Amino acid sequence: MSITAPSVFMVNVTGQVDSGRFMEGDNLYFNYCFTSGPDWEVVGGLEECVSQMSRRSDDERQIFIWNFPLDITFKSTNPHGWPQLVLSVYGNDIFGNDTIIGYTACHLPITPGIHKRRLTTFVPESASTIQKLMAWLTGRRPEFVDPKLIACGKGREVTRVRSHGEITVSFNVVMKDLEKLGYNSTGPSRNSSHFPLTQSVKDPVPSGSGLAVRSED
Amino acid sequence: MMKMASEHRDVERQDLGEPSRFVPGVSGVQIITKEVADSRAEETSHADRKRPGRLRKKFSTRPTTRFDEAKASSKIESQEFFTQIWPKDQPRTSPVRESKKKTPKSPSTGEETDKLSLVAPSSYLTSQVVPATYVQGYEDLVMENLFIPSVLPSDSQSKVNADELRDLEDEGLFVGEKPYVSLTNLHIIENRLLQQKNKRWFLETGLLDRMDNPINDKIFHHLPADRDVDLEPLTAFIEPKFGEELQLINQEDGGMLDLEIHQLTFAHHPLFSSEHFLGAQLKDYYKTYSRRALLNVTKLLKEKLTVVREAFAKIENSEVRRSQQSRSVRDEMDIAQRRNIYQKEIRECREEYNSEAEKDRVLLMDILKVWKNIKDLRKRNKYHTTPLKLIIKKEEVNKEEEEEQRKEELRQDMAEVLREHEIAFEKDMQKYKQVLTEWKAAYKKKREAKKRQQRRKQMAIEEELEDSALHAAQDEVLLATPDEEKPVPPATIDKRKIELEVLDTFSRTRKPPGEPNILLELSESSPVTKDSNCPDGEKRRRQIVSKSRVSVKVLINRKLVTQTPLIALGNDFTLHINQSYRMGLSSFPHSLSLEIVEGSGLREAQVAVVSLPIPSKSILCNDQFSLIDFLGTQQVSCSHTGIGCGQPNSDYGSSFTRGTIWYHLSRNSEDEAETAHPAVPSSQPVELTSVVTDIEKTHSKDEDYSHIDPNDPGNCELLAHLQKSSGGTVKSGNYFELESCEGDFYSDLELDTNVRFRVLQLRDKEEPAFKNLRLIPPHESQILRKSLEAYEEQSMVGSGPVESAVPDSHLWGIDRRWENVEKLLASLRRHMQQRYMQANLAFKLEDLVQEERIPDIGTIGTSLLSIFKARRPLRPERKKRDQVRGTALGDQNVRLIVHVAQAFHVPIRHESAVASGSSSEVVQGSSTVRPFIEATFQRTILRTSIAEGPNPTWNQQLSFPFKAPNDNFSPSSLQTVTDNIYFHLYDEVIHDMLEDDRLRESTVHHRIERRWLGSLKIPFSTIYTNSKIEGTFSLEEPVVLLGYIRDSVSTVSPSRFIHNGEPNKSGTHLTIYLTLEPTLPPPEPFKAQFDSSEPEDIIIASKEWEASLSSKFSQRLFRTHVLDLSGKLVSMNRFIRPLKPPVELISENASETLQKVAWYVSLIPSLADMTLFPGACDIWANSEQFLTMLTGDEEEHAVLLTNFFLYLGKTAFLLVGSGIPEGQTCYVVTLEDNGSWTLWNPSTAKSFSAQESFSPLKAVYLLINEENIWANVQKYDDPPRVNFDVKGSGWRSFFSRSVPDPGLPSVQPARINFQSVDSSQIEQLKDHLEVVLRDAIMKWRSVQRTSWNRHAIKVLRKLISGLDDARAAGKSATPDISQLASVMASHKVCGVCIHQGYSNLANVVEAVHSTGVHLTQAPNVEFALAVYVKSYPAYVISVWVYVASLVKRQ
Repeated sequence: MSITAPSVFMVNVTGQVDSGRFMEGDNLYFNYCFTSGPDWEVVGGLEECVSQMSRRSDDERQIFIWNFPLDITFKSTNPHGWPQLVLSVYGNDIFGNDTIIGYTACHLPITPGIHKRRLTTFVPESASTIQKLMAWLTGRRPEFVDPKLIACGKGREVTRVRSHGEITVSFNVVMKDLEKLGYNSTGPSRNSSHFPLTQSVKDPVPSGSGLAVRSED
Repeated sequence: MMKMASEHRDVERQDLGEPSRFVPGVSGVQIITKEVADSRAEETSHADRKRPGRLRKKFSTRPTTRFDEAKASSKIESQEFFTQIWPKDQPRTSPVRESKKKTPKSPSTGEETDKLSLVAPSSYLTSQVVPATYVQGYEDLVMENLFIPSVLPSDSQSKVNADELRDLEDEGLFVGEKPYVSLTNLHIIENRLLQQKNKRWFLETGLLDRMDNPINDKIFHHLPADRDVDLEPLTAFIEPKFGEELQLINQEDGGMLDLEIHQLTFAHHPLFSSEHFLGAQLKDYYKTYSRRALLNVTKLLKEKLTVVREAFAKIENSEVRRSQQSRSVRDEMDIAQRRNIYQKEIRECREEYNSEAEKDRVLLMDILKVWKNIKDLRKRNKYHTTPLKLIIKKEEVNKEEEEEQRKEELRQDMAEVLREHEIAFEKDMQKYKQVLTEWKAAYKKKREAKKRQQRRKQMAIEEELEDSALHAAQDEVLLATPDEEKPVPPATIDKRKIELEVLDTFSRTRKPPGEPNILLELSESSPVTKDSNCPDGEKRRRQIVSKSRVSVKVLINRKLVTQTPLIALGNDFTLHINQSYRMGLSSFPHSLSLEIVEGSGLREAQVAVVSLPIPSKSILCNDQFSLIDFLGTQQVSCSHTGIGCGQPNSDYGSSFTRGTIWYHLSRNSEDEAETAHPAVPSSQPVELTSVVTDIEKTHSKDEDYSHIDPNDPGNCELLAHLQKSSGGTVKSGNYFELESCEGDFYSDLELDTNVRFRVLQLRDKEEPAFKNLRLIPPHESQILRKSLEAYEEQSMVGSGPVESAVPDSHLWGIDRRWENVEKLLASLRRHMQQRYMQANLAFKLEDLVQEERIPDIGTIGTSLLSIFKARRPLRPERKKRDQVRGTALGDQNVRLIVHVAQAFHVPIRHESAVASGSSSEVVQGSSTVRPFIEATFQRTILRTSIAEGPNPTWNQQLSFPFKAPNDNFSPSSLQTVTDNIYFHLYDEVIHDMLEDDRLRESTVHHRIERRWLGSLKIPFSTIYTNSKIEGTFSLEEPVVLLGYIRDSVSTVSPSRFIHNGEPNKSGTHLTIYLTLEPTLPPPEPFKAQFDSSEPEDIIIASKEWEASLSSKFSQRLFRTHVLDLSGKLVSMNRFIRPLKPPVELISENASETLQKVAWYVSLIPSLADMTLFPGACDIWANSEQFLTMLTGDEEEHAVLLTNFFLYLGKTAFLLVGSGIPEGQTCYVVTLEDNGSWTLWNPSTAKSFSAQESFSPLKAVYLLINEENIWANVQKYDDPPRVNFDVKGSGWRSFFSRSVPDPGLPSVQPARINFQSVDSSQIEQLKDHLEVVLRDAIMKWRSVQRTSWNRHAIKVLRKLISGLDDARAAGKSATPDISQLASVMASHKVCGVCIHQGYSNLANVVEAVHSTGVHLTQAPNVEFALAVYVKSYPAYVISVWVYVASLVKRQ
């Protein structure tokens, strides 16, 4: 009855980096990479990519649409070091230099299903005002030595960052054999069918449904 | 229970009270009242204002809208006035005044005015049109009229009468925690209530009667009272329901059905013997008994009874006392009610207790009776068929005491019963009296009617009256009604009878005094009589029992699905089936039944059928087994002792076959994983699953420290659970239970013993052996234990004293020593790592963020200068490439780029050797040698093409893929790479194999042979730290090159070969360029502050000194302090101290001694610091440590050599500079007699003049001797142009007048004890080496046969033995080739002699392999191999290996 126990579990993530909202820059692109713990291995898909350049939309939303697909499959033996998506957005400043617009990172969703994440981005601050001026003049803003640094907490206490926009990412997560290895990854989405009525009960009665009109006097 | 009474009162009062609930503890109630009035007024005024106009119309036509809701909410707001605390300064009065003007009549209701009147005259607070005038002394007036309660605690005397004061907690009643209200507030309200003389707010305990929970569990709208009446509820609340039925109907497929049949037990079976039957009965009883014993209801009830009685007695007492005082009607009623409740409670409790106790008695009697029957039966039969044994434990008791107790109990019971009867009698009596009067009235009427009728009859004759007819009819009706029975007065209480009754119950329920307490225990320990000792009937029964087989068939929708195997019926009639079946159902199962069948095939007989409930799909895992009973219908009578079944006349066999099946059934959809295995019930009589006991354990643990109050209603569920788990009675509560083990965590012990967790932990600790492990398997069994075991062993060695290693057969004495050294190194490495882990962890901003530096004049200047630089300089420099970090390295596209430019001075083939052979065989090119370079890195072999002549130029680029350990490109892991890049210079010799000259035009048949001419080894760590290596390196050449000579004419080097009478040393040189593409991040130097034992000012001075120098000479590296092995900073000059070299090395000739000492030092194997101590560069060991470890960097070699030279009376300095290929390196410089300077390379023992242009030393930074450190401040730093006289102006000393030498002692020991070496061990090593090498060569030549030429070996041995001494003395180690003449005459000899300082076997084998002698493909080739081992003190060993291939000349 029992099949030979699997030795790894798989996590497949597809999805896309939908859009972003940033104050500066008219043409932005980003690159993404994944970080994961020592027990994780990429089985398929691109681990690192650079997106196309996107223009700020002309309408009042003023957003950048990338719709850049993600598709990656991991295998692992241990949930420790669950993979993280690291995004770094770049754009051109007034002088046409490539500058960093924002960094952000998030763990891949740990439950199967469709997930949407709004990630706020940040950039490191210059250490001093002079350097800020210099950075502005030379077009070389402070950058992280390694974008993957933002996926780990080590040493971050020395950095100072400023928030700088946001990015929307959607994930579709499929998992295999996670439960066979004894990890329970069922999220609330799976059990929601047990309480199908709660939502509708709470809905207020629509107005004009012919209820008794009270007299005012 | 007791609490209820007080609560009742509370609720009662609320009913008659105002609609707003009493909110205890809100301060300033008396002030709020005004605000209430205000707010009400305000609100209504708003409504009034809006009333007229269109809006109103809209209101009346529209259905309820948001607006209404808002209005309603404003009502709520008004309610909130009670609870909200307004800021004091808020001017709330002005709108009130306004509104008052507009609405002259405030709708403040009567009840409010009532309320107000409590505290102040209504004239002030009721709304009247008051002009906004200032009233003189208003405040005083207010103060006069308002009662301001004190915040001090009121005395309890005034609240409750002293004699009534009770402490409920003392009485054992549960007193819950009331919601928190600050004491001040509490006192205020108490005082206020006391002022009102309102004592009913207080409990008997003297506390304010408050609600337990201010939160109402019912939701209600604050709708106006007038609306409540006619308004239907807006929405009906439908509770969310679990739509199981819905699911079942929609179910298309049946999903998976998991059925596990665990056990089948017969409670009755035709093959039971009489004893079995009784045994089953006994077991049944015993089960009940033990369950009851566990629950111990009787005792609980008894205790309860006692408590209630006591409480009742208390009330009675207080009543007696109270009767003297005046009582209100309410109090009286209350007490009466309470008394009734108590009495009822006592009666119920007593009756319950009596019935339970009776049950206990009966059960005990039954058990004893059955057991007696069994015993009788056994005695009668003279054999046992069941192993049952009842152990009766008697507990002796004190008879007198019990009698006393019993009497007391009896008295109490009697009194109670009497009283009850009296009360009942009274009631009956009253009823009777009532009924009697009624009856009497009716009787009277009837009698009168009768009289009247009689009278009428008499008068009928006389006169007929109209109206009397009506009366007559009425009377007739009256008379027609049957006479009612005269009510019987209730029987008077027969005290005697009641007493007898009570006594009777007592005799039934209580054990007679003096009877011992009986404890029963059922065991199955009695032996069953052997078959042979039984009578025939029993024997037959047993035979049949052992033959009969039972199986269970599973039928779904009345179709046979599966069947368990046939299982023999044992003596205990219990079948352990333990089979689980998974059934995939195509449709929904309508019925599921189990059929119990005896026998098989034709003799199959159905015993019973039982249908199982079909589980719902959603219930996935129920861990416990379900039980189901079955009952057969067949009638069986047996001829043997079996009792049969279904026989109405039989003593035992009247019952039908019955029994119980333990099963587990679950259903899930197909995609689900397996369901959890149910827990096996324990074999104890009470079925406790292990899970339950677990829970109990945890709970009882909780109980220990939190002291659960059993009376607290909040703990009711938990207690019920505990009871359930102990009693086994299943009653599902409405609470969540964690019954499966999914929430269990590993204990620490398990974490430690589990191999996988151990490995994970070690990896987390960054132990070197586990640091970079990837994909640790998820199952413990898949983990490789070897590495863990090795680690544990190692850590054991590291912690404890070094044990003598287990003598391995293949380990030789010296090798074992090496093992120990390696262990020492490993522990040292660990120590260092731990020490500097912290320093490594701390990040600085520069490590994380890349940012432009603040510009200074220097950088601006250079950037400006760069504009004026030549566009295409004549001597272009390599551009510095950006270092690639982090992400890009993940691609594993790192390559090692090797550019092989050219070589100089390659030896050419010896004319004589060539001439003596048949020249026709060797295809000669135009030149005398055809060299090529073969490079090896990480098992990848690449070669250049062939260039001709002794000074070949290749200009070829070779590119090696670079594999980082575990694909980890972090600096820390790259530092551990110990791979070397080998360059081998070969001469390619092409032999023409073509025999027939006529074919020459059409056929080519060549045999290519390569001959090793020299090699170069560059460790990867050097490339890694320097990021590139560029230069001309001298090759390590074979000591003897047979068949080659160096063409002195063709050399391009300046004619400086002969120097100081030394032989020509200018060997072959190779120009190469090495780098990594992309550049890997170099190891980060330590930024941590190291502790030092030196004075603080010296360290500071050293920093200043270094800074001032490096600002001038940025290319040069200056330093004064290095780390020693303990990780402390030590001034470099303290490493220098004259040390006596081993006596064996000192000879008459001074220069020879120097050579020998240098030779000795060079024999110690080298290992770069970085690989020795990853992450911690530049660690210097002192010479003693160096000689113990027998491995070290250049600096250790140089320090040792300097120390030896100083002892020998030389003027010697330690030179820190830069050389190739090592990068930063250390040399020794000595002053010769003639005033010239000689440089010594300590790792190779080569000495050369400072003027030598091809010297591997490229720059001189520092000179160090015992006293001082000098920095090179000359314009040039390349050795030929450096003036080495430290007294000159070109040197700046560290210790000067301003910074005096603190005079710290040297870190070197005064003398070093050189261990002498056991010569037999050396012999052994030599033999061993020879064997190993031979085997290795034969292995490498696995395809061909390898034969050894003994004669040649002999010659070579002789040849090789002379080499070491000559070399040690610094002489040219050219062997006497004449000795080989005889061999060479008959054979073509191609041989290589290599030499090494011995570190371990593998290195020697590797060196031999790199010569490539074994690669020859010549037919009939023979080999010769000779090994010579020369040992020096302190296990410094020099190894010589001569390998040659011989081809017989034709």
